[in-house]
Amino acid sequence: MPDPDSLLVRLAGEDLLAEADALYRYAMSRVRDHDVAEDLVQETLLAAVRNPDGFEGRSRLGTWLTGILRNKILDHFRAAARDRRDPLSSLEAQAAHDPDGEWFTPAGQWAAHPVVGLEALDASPHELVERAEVIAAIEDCVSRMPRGLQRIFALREFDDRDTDEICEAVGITRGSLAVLLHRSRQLLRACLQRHWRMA
Amino acid sequence: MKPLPKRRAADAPTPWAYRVVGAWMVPLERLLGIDCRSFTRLASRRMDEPSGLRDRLRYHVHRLTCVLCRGQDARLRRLHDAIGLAAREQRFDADAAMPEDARHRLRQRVLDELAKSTDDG
Repeated sequence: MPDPDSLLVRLAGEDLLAEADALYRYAMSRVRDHDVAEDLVQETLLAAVRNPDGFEGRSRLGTWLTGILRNKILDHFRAAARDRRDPLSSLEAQAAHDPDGEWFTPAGQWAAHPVVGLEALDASPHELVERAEVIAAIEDCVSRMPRGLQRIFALREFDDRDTDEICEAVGITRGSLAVLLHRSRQLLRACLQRHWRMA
Repeated sequence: MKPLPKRRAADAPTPWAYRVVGAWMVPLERLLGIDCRSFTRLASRRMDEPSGLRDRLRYHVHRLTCVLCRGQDARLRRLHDAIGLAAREQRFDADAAMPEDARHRLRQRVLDELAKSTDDG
């Protein structure tokens, strides 16, 4: 186990701002709010300073701090779901609306071709992440989703959280989560289709 | 060099395999209650949790018969994998930078906490 004092020395030096920047980018991609991201990074670093013994040295300092931040983000979403002003508190009601009426005919067939324009997605996932324009298009389309959907989408797709964990955190049923994730994926598909067809 | 296959004439009869699939699959789809709309819901759910026997059957029967749903499902799965990979490699918001005043506030707050913990120790 590393000396807790040496960890504190690292955090007091150059490592602090370097780690803070990486944590900030991580938090921003999940919460998409500058103030909230800043608060979460601060809470993460303070938690690390208060409990340096938690760093067992089996991973990089950044990995340990990201682990703390992941928990802080989930705690933040838990609190937001209890706040009536926050979009997360109305997710259950959103799930009750018809999620995909605009994409299908009343007979349940596709109203428009679902994959024209998505030829870029024929590449492998490894090739896709190397292409900056694909990452930029995904970021843009996720930011266009309603706020509540963005958050559960980030928890599931970015963080690979278990569905039970997400349901518990944001206070919705598994059925509602399935509806909302389906809607967010279709919104992303339709947005990418528009994006690349216009390009 | 291998010769290219002959293109089918527009008025050529439907191949027997298509007729067999059409004859069995369409009624089977109706029996299973699956169309493109319910398929996309089912396909999305399968990305998050394992499905039961009936849903697996519904999924595969429709995937076999509907080229649009098959193409859509394959691309969404690749997108799902790519997003997870990009998130693990921290490719999203790679240009997001903490404002300078926020960095200063953060540094001061952490240094204060460090000084406090040193005093307490």
